[in-house]
Amino acid sequence: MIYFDNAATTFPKPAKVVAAVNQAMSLYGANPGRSGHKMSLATAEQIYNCREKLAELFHANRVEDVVFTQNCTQSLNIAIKGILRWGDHAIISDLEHNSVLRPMEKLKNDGLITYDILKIGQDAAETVARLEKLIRPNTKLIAVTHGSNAFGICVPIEAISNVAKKHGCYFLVDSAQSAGVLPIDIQKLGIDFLCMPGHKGLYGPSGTGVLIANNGERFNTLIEGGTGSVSLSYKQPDFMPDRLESGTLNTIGIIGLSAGIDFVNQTGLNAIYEHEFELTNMIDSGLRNIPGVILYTAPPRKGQNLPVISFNLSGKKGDETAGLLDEAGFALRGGFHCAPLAHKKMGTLESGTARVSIGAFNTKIQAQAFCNIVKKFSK
Amino acid sequence: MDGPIFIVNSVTYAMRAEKVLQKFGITSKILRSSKYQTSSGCGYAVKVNCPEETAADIFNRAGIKVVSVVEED
Repeated sequence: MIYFDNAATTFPKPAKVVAAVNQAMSLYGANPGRSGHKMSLATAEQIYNCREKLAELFHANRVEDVVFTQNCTQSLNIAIKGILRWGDHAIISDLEHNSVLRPMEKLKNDGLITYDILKIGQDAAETVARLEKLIRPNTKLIAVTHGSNAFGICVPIEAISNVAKKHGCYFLVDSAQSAGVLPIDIQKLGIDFLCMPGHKGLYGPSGTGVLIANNGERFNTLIEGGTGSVSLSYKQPDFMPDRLESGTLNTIGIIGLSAGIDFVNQTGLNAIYEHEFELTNMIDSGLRNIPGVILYTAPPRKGQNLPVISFNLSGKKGDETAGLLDEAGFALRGGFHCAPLAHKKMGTLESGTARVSIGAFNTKIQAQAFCNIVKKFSK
Repeated sequence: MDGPIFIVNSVTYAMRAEKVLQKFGITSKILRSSKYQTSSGCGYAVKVNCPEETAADIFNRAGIKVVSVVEED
């Protein structure tokens, strides 16, 4: 099997991640932050180290701003539902995943908030002009993806951040597809809430996610419970990260994530993106030269596209195309990618698309083999 | 190790306190015991190998909230 479904989750994981998880099962089996015995403290240290690595990688203000979750969806729900209050207005983009769209829709349907959808333009200037028209006096939050999980288009987050700051709005970035791929400096980019999975570009195991929340103490909480701190209080702690981390963490997963971050740091963010972009370009060129292949985006541009391409075989729906490729030994995702807004924007609500998403372990030989098989199926 | 014991609310603060002190070449040890509870219950303690004022200043600059300071019996 040749794996081109890295936007869903990266595979394979680096050997050091597998080793870290195995080691953790034997050495770090205690519950961190609960007890005072040696194994609990040793496990707590492993968790803290991962927090620290994330804080450094994304330039968080404080280590304790780093919150561990189950996945990016949970991070997004915690942030969106944590910061918005009754009567607030929010803005999201027309490329959002359901993990941003659905919480917003739920809050709206519950009569708590209103929200608008920003059409991402051809360039930052067009996007900003459109965004300015959507801002209202009660706009509290602007929440956008860093890049589309279906079409790989990057959103101009720096320009959007400037608008958010100008109007005193909070700014949330869904970096599900960009964490570990593109550089993200929370402080330089003025990001208040950064959400990401641990199991995609950071090469950690599934069941890991991260929310980096500037002053997360102000959030309403979705979940309250045991934190191993201030246990006699009936109230959820008002300090981070405990306020947003109730219950036992996915300790083994986080230790694996820590090793994944080491892989990203040691390989180099830039090197990873250069490699993945090269293959993205190669596949895009290859597909573009095949009659009967439909592409939906312009040729990728460095820094403006993620290593994700959506396409179809003429006359076939996305899941059918992916099914054919699966039979030929290529793992892709076909369908709507939990991104109805993006498919509506790109005119693929009827057909869906097949999505090829490149990872650090894909090779030129695999990319060429992929183009060859698509060519065969296009005839 | 002789030295004052700083009580903080969580293991994350305790770990950060330990790391911050390391940068100044100060050793410390993290403890968890009912002897070092906060008024709200469970907390973690950091026993430091330096004068109280030195550690207190370092923690203050690093934004580490200290609940209380005790001396070992």
